[in-house]
Amino acid sequence: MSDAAMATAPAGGAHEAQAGADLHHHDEEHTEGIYTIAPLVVSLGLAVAATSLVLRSPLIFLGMGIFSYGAWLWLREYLPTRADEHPVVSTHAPFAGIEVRKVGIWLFLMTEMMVFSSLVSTYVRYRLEAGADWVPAASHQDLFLGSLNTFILLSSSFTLATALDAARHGKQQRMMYGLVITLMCGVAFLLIKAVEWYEMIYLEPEPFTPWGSVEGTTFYVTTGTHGGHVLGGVIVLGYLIYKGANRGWGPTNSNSIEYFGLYWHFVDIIWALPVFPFFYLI
Amino acid sequence: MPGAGTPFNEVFPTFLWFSIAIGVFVAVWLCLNLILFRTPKGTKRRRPKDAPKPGMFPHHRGNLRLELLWTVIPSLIVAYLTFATLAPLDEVWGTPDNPVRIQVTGSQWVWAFTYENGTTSYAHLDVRCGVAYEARITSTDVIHSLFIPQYGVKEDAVRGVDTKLTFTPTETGTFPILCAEYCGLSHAAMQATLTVHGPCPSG
Amino acid sequence: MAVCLLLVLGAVAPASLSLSGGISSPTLPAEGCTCHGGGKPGAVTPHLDGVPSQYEPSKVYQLNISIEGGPPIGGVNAGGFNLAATGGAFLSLNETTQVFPSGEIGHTTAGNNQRAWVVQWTAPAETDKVVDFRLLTNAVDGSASPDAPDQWNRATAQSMGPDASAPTTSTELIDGPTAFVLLAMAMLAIVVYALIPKGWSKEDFYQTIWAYLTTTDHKRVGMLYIATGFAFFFLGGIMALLIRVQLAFPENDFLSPSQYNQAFTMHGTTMIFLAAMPIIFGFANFVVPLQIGARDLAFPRINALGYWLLPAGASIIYLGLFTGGTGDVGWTGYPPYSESPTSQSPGTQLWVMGQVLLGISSTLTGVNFIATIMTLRAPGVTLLRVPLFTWSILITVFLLLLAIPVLTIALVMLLLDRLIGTAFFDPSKGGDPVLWQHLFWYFGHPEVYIVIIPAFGVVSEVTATMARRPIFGYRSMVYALVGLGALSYIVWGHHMFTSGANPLFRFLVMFTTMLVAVPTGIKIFNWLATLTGGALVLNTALLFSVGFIATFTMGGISGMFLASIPIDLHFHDTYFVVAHFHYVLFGGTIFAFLSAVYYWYPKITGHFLNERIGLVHFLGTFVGFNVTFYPMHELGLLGMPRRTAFYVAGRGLEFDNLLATVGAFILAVSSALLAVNIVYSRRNRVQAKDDAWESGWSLEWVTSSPPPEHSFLKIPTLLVQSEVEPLPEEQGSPEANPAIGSGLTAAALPKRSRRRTKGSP
Repeated sequence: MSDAAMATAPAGGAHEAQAGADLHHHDEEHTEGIYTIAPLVVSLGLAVAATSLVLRSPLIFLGMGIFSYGAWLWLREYLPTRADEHPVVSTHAPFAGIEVRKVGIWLFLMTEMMVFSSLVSTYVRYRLEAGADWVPAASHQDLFLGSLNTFILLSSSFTLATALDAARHGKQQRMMYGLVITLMCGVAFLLIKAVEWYEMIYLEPEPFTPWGSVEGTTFYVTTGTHGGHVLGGVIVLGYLIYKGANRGWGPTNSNSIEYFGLYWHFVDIIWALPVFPFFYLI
Repeated sequence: MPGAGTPFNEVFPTFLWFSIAIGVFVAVWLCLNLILFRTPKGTKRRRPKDAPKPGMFPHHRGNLRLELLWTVIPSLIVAYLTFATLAPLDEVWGTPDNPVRIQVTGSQWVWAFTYENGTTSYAHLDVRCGVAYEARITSTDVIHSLFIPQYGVKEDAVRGVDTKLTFTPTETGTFPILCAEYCGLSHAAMQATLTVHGPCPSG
Repeated sequence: MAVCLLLVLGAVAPASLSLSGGISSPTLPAEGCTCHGGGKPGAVTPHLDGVPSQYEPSKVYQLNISIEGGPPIGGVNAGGFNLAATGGAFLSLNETTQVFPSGEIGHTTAGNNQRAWVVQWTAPAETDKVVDFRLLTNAVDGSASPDAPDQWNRATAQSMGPDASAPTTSTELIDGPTAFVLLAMAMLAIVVYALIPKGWSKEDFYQTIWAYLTTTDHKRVGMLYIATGFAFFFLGGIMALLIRVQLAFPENDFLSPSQYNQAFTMHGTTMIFLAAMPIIFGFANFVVPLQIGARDLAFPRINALGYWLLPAGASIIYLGLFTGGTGDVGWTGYPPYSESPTSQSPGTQLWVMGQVLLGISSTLTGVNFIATIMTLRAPGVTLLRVPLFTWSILITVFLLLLAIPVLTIALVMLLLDRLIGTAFFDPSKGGDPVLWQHLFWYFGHPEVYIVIIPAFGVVSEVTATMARRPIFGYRSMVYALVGLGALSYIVWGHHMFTSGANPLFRFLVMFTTMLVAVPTGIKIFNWLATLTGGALVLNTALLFSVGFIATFTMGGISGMFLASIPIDLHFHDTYFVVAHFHYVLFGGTIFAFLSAVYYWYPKITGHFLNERIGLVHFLGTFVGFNVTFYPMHELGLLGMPRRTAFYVAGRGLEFDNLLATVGAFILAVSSALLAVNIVYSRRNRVQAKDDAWESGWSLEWVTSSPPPEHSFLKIPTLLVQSEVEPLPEEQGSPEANPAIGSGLTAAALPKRSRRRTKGSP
């Protein structure tokens, strides 16, 4: 149980996770503290990128570079700890027996819930007030592409679940197929979205732009934020595939896929309702 | 301080008296605690029976009846204060019969007042005593706020939103009109003068 | 006219030049000069004739300045002007004009009665300069009355040398990131300097610097947060002093309106996001894992990232100083002004972006703390046996988790409006400025509870420990915290009573706001009851908590006034509100966390802060605080609006304002005593034991002072005092004492474990 109170195990250490109180447990081995410059570098990169974005400076690339370097340092230090194989599990109610990282992902998803709530409630507020005068985004395009995207995203959740199940049963090839198809779905979603946007902005007789009207603003920023989340998921998925090809995901270390799955399914649900119905169907 | 008869003044004294009572109660209890229960240095420190010790969740300490008392009494006070607010609130939001309408437009950084006859005056408003006025307020740019301290009234001037406030002057004189929503560089200078002309109706 | 001249002379001050090389001084409004207050900009047409589009080096030109339009000339003082150029030199041709030391040319008193002037300009000797002219003109009707509507406008012109190329845009893009790096390093230096002990070698220094730069240990990260927080508290305090000096006298010109507007904006943003929240989360970082018996937070690297995003975001916000002006939109940033071309640019964009980074930091912190408190508690630490400070942090981070993303999205919307012209809050495109108010205050009200609820937790700890008794009514205190957290989400409309929002909404929110008094009152009475019957030690930690009870109660009471709509219609956006929130934020949060400093200092460092200096620190702070902020209640009654760079004489505002300024300086001097105390107590150490105050019960008092690198040598088990050492009245039934029967009993433990874990070797 004392291990549960330790944040992570260092490289090379072997610890067993213990749930429940064990009063006769002897003192834990002396573990090293975690020292890493990565958080500082990541923050520096974000700061330079953010400043450059606001000042419209080409130094944004420098910022993105520093951020990427920091992310690489982070992963290089964190990944060898093999957190998957030494899960830290909660001892007390209400999350007894659940891994700490899982609790973390759920909490993170709660914050994302608030992000999308703010965007969607802004849209609802403007739309209700405009009533019949509202010109919906749906009127600027045919529903085919939007519906296609919905189907693609829902399918990708299925393929990801398949990959997780395969990993849990040790079926490497099926797992890799699942992950790769999920990635392809994500990329397809983004490409189709880009086509949609291109059509609405450049091919319409009256361009439908983010800055032209409240309808445009709410549509592009909400679907754009969602698309940004898909892009983030695609990047992480790329890494999962890379690791899957090298070390493989098996029954002992597939939790990462599960937690990524939580995020991916969340992004999918946000699209399936409310984004798609509110912006495409009504 | 808003003049007599304003909704503000109808309810402010009530709040003030309750505040003083509660404030005095807390202050006295606090001071008594510090005086009666301190252990001066040098004297043998008496150790209470239920003194906590490290590593042990302390003894239970509480008194349910006392806690209920100081839950219920504040709730009653809060209810009373809310109730006391209702009548002045009605006055604030109610529309007087046949008010004289004034269109007020805020821009950076001047107040423009347009009377019913169409004339516009800048930074100056002339009204008659005893007449009910309704100011319809809007802005041409950023948010301003029309504030007449003499009557304790205030409402924002927002472009695209129709807001209004009402007031009835009860005494003659000149009073300041201020902008009460930060609107940029000359926010402090965005002032106007209200002149109330007599005679004031008696009674 | 005199005021106009003063403003022009103010332009001479070196501090007023902006780095972009522009010629307009911040003391003069962008649109021109109003000299009598009020008036309409843009109502006259200024003419500047004779400026050559291409000049001949060193040639002399005659320029004609005139104003077309304006009110009929009724008396003396018909008009005025101010002309500035980035190159060349002016010469006055007669007594109607004069050249100022700054090189600008304007009218004299003799030249006040006309609307046309002739001046001479000599072109520069260089052939490749680009000279920008800026003309400000003002026309009056001659009455010189404060109500006379001035009409003014500005004009610009440009003259290029024979070899000059087209000018680049004024905002130097490369300046920003370079300046940012310097600023970030300067901030780091402040943080580091605060932590340097005496008698160090260079090697020690670098090693320790590197250790802090790379640490993920909750104790070190906590100290970084606290040090950074106090550094920004100092900066925010400087801004407050600038504001108070400006407001000490009516119609003062110590700060220009533009500088004043930036000062109060940065004061608010700094104090809330860069001072209060870091100090709170610094203590949370250090203390919460100890209190629940964990070695660290659930995600230590993310904890470090959360910290480093703080100087990152702060640097972006402060970068505005180097780009012509920081954001000047108030900490609340209401559009349309925050999207208007009349607000500072790019300072306001930087202000927005910095806060986005701070929002990411807070969100990560929220996730981390909830995960930690919910999953990493030591044996025996059930949720209803968690110390009240940890409880307060748990509620706080729930609020953080759900409120900060709303602010972040609102900020992104504002940024998009500013950067690419989206329609979120822009009325000209169908947007609604009041939507921002809803989004901002939906975050903003939980935000102020985020900064006060931890203060409640601190006061609960300190009063109980210093009274040497358990807290009175532990469970009610927990329920009150939960109730306050929940209530905080349904009261935000009370910031919008004059906004033109739906009247039903405003009414409902008045009701919910009034309700807040009930759980708050429970807490106040429980603290008072805790002290009653205790064996109080009146040390500085307790004094600050006691001061908190006094000033926070006062702040809560003034809040009740503001909850009532008819009263709020007078007080909204006046100094009454300023008094209220300083009583609850300073008299509340800051007092409580000064108490926390004195309380946990021995645990963090191993020695106590000096009590005599502490007493003077407390008395000076308490007196200074009340002298500063109490008079503001009356200023609100008198109708003095907030965020005003000056006030007019003759309205009864002088005395209270001067008193407030005096108080501010008393406060400033007293606050310095904390630094004095830290240095003094280090040199005259009074060692602290594990249980420094000899009556703490929570697990931080079980480990050594300071704790070892992994916080505990051995993870302790929390026992229940009423089972280990039952009082006579507690023997027996669980009904009499809820603590019995739900935990580990002494009988089940082997003898060794019952001994209190000592901690340090």
